[in-house]
Amino acid sequence: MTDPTSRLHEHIPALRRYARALVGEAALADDLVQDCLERAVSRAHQWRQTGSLRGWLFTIMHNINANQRRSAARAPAWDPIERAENTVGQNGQQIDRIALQEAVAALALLTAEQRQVLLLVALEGLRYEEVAQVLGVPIGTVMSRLSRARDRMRELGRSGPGRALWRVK
Amino acid sequence: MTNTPPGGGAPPTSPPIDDDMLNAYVDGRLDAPSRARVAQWLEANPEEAARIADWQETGEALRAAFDPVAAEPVPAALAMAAAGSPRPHRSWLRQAAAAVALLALGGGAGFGAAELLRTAPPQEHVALDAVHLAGNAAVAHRVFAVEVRHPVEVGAEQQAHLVQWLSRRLGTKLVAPRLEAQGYRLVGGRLLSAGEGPAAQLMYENREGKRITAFVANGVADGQTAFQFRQQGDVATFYWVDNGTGYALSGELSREALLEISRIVYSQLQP
Repeated sequence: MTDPTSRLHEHIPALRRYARALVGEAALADDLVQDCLERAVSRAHQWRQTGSLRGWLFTIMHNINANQRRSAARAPAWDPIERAENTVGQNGQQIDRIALQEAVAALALLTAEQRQVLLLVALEGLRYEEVAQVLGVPIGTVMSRLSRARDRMRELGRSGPGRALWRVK
Repeated sequence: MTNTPPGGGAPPTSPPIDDDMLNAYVDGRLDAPSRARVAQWLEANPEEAARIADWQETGEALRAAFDPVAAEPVPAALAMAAAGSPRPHRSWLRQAAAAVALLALGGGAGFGAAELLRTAPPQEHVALDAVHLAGNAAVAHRVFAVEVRHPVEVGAEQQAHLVQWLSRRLGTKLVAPRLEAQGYRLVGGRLLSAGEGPAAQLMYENREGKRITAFVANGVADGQTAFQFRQQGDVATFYWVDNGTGYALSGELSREALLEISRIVYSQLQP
């Protein structure tokens, strides 16, 4: 049986990207990634060869994040605008920085469930079946959350923290 | 097909165009005929088309905002966690992110992932001994030798600065061995940790891109040892301790090839 830990490092960039978008703050996000990697190493024997390593890692991260959110003390306080400025800070060259900040701010106003689904699909490119496995919900739930998340982002893009819909070009 | 409401008006053999289908359209999950059918339907339904355009722009904005995170160099603490090095203290990550020092090898850990799975977690605050030094060296080799974009912190083009910096942090005069005759040129180095103190890693590369790393740390408990050998997976390590300074040379080389280079490194380090 291949030891999955030998390939963990390949997935760190995507795990960091997802965690950053999910929890907002860089230090908290990397903490989450580190917890995830440590748990993956310690539970490597539980990984089923048939499943994708990426999906397994996102599942671990989801479970850790869900547990942390349950303990209120650890729940990150989302300040959408501040988070957005920190996140998008230096990354605006040809893209409109303000527009991206507004998109990130709107993301913070989704429910956690909507945010997870939207990010796993639109940012990480997981298939719907994979998202259902990661989150432990039926695929129908994934699809309805996805539509609601996208429509909510659309509303927020027109009226919410963003004054106009973000344009990336 | 004009102004058809969602789900209506489609040929009986085709599934209705509903939100599931529109999501799949946005996410590129439809086959060509279905994609064409949705595109045609959107042309006839401008309100839905505007909605779908916004959905697409949301995705583009999120990717533009967060893709740069995936392009950042991987923090050393995370690379070490993936390689199976546990952290003894929770507060490390923030320090590690801020500081240059890599703290993930503290606590006397430093075995490969496979070993960690078989053994109990190491105790905290174990003094650095030669075996742990070799373990740390092998893990650090495995983590950074594969790194394409950021294999070192300071490149060989700044060799004087590199050696001076690492010497100051180690509190011992570091010498970068010359291995050109063996076909290896210095790539550069980085500051890491071993036990509870600093350690230096120097990386060398040959023309085929094969890399070997030298790992140096001070304050090794067994003050003096002979050459010793350790194999962790693909990574071979020769290590020795001289006056409390530990040296380890790691690479995915045969024992014989690595021994030859280790002897040369050893001879160059003698005054």
